[in-house]
Amino acid sequence: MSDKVFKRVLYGVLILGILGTAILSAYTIYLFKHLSLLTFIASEGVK
Amino acid sequence: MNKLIKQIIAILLVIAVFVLLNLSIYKTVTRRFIDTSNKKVKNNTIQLKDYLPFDDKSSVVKVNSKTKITDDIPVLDGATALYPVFSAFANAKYPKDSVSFKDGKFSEKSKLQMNNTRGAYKRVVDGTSDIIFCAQPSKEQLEYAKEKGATLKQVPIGREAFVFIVNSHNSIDNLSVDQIKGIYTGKYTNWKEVGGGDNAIAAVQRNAGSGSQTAMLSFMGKDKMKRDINVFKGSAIGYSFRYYVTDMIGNKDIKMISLNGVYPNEDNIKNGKYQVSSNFYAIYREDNKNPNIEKMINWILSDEGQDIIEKTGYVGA
Repeated sequence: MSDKVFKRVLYGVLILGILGTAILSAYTIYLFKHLSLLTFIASEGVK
Repeated sequence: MNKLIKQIIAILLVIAVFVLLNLSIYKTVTRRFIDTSNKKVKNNTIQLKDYLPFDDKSSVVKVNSKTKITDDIPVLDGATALYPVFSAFANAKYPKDSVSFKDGKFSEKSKLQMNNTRGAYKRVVDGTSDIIFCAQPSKEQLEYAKEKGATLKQVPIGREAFVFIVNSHNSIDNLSVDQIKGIYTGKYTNWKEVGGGDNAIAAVQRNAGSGSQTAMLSFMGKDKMKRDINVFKGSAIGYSFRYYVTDMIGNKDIKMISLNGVYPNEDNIKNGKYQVSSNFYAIYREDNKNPNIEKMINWILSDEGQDIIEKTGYVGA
């Protein structure tokens, strides 16, 4: 592919990747803020 | 052709980096928090309907008071852990039609509400709830009251033990006060340092302004807590009030631990052997003109009211 097309595809992939990571991080922070302490400890199952 | 292959490899590499990054975030962090919402665990969490007043199927303590309040009915609200107590107050003293509950929540006009500690403190200051039942106010809650020109009166009506909890698979059954403080200041970060297995300690905290967070800050005294050390890995320790953990949740996957060798059972709380207990209060705005607020609080402090508190599982004032 031409350099122009390649750059566009690459930037597109980068933007999608950063967006995906940002969405996952935001969702994780949302879950953390609504964490039930007791259920968090109960669901652990770690020795 | 070579150029095209190199370009495709470059794009695939970038995709692979993001896929690996997001997979590792999900596996190490996100999944752990998602696990807290599964059905089995949710079934053991507090349900408002389990302690509704005027309901034959409800677990609320049912005492029929000799006198009822029928006019100027104070709106009751408060902490989740104390909901069974103030719901029992409403059951004893209020007419049945003063409380309305639908679709899992109390209606706006209901004289019984449950907005948890943070919500209740805001509502009593704003004037939408008349009497709230909570642990002592946090610094932020007192500042909010001052900002709104409200002076809050706090009447101690009972006591409850402040307890520490771990997963029931954790080999730790007892910690000293110094060890718990050390965990929450970050001095101890592995369970093996306090007599347990080789596993990181996830010292989980509650939200600022919640009753148990205020109680924990009081427990820590001058020692400053480090926010959520190792919360993403390791085996957790947390804190709450005893009644909430045992009677309301009753989850066999968690256990309370002894403090300085004393287990927080009812006897040890009543005889003072378990030393970490705090008052809980009936709180109202000093300038609230509702004539039945004082009547209600006097009744709560009477034998009838204190009987409800003890039957619910707390210790009377």
